[in-house]
Amino acid sequence: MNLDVESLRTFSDLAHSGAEEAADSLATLTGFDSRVAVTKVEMSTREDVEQQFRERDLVSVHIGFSGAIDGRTVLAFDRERAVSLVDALVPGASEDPESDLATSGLKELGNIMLGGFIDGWADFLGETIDITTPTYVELDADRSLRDVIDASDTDGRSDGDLGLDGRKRDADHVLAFQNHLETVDETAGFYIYMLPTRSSVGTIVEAAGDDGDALPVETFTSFSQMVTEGSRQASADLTAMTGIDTDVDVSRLSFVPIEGVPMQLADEARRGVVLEFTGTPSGYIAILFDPESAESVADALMPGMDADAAMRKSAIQEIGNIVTSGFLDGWADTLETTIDISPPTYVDDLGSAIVDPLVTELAQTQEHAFLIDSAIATPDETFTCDIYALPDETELRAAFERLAPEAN
Amino acid sequence: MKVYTTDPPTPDRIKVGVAEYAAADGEATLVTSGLGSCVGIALVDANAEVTGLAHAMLPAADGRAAESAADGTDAGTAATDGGDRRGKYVDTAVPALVDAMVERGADRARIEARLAGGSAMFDFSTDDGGVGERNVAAAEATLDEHGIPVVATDVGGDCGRSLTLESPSGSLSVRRAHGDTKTI
Repeated sequence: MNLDVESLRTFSDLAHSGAEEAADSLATLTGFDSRVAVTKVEMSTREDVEQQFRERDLVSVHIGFSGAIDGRTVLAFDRERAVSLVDALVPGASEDPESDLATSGLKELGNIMLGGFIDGWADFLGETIDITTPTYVELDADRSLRDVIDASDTDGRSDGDLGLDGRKRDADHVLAFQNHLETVDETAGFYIYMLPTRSSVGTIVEAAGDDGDALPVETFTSFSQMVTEGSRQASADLTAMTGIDTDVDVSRLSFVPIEGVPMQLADEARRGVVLEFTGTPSGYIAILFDPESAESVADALMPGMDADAAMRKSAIQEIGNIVTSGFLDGWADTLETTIDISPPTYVDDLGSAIVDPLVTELAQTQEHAFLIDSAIATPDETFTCDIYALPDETELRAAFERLAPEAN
Repeated sequence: MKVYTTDPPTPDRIKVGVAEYAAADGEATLVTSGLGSCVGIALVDANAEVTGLAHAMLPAADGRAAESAADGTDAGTAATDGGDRRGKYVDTAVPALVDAMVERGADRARIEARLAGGSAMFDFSTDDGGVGERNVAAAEATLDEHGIPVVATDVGGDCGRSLTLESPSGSLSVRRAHGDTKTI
């Protein structure tokens, strides 16, 4: 199966308009206006999606779909906040948010919103898509999202490459469509995930047409794995430098409308560095810490020293350099190219504002962006290091071509 | 079936995302966050108690913005479906925002503007002449074309900003990192 950037744009547009349908349904049902904050096409595994649920402590309503395309949609939300909306649907639900009444209201909300979301895809494909009855899922330590999906899937996993060991599951690298909706007053937010089966992705790609530069979907998978390797190396280098164990918490490659990128970051202070890299591909990278993490990292680098602000700043710069090298060096090796990295510019500003100028540079020539985001964290929460990389789309395409199986 | 136990709530806090614009009347707070080189354009007709806020990324659409909103709503979203992209560009965001305000009862002749953002945080090799600076210049020029006076600005520099526009007063709070806030 081949995939091209044009198909990704179509996916992104479809997911966005589907999410707008869902937002309209929410408004009709509850009277709450909501907006689609971000639509992402993620080249992720189910594990990655599950991880996001855990990070945000979300509960969810699942609905399967079959027909023109097969797969599963998930509406995820903070239960307490969602129940306040459900009150308009099931009067009295908010009096006892844990009640069956509230749960059935949430299922109905899922039914209507996800139904609206799927309708847009059926329209695009010009074929019928049937949906199953909603299932309410509360994730806890004993029950993973994957277990729930696997248990409730009845199509016998016809794509068949989901093995029991992690390596095989990695082969099930699929596209996931993630939409973030929030009420206009930001009191409640929803995530709509759509996880089509692999063959269904092929169906949609075919319907979207092929602009001639399509690459095997494995190319995107290879790139995503290269990014994960880069994150691991950066994590190892960070551990070597600070003497504190770190793990890669998140490593994602997604395709987003370019204006959606700054909205991925908090409107809160972040410290770190911004660098420019040039080669195949070129782009920008931001290595950011929340203020507490920045202090912890600087302390770890200068143990027992009474470091002043300038010393802390240069410590953060040095860390930024090391993390960037670890993250990008593997790319150059894998792509058999050279990637030059500019000196780091120290930043101490609002997170979303730090990324804004990077995005604005790219926005002059492209409407969508490939966003790479990784998080490296210490198990004891001493610090978290967020990495955001924004490669230039055209050059990234050239890089993809180097990774395409035919080229090897 | 639609059952309201209470009247549908009227949002009093409206978030304007990147490349979006929104208008409001009466009591409301419009917010937008993370302006780096982007420019925030805040408009008010204090008499009519109508305000509007846009968060534009680039100076000029050069034909890239769709000419009309698909459904005629007064809030432009960062459309990815070929719809309204006017909020993304300064030269299309200003007229779109003015139209949205006029629909809510504003008089073009009374509208005043405040500008914030357009900073130059980094010196990139690809950056020919600073997008932030060009965004501010485009905002001033477009507002001038529409006969809208700029009564206050907090633009340029090298730091990010987040904005809160109070309706109906039109006062604009500009927050920087570390809680440093000023009202213009």
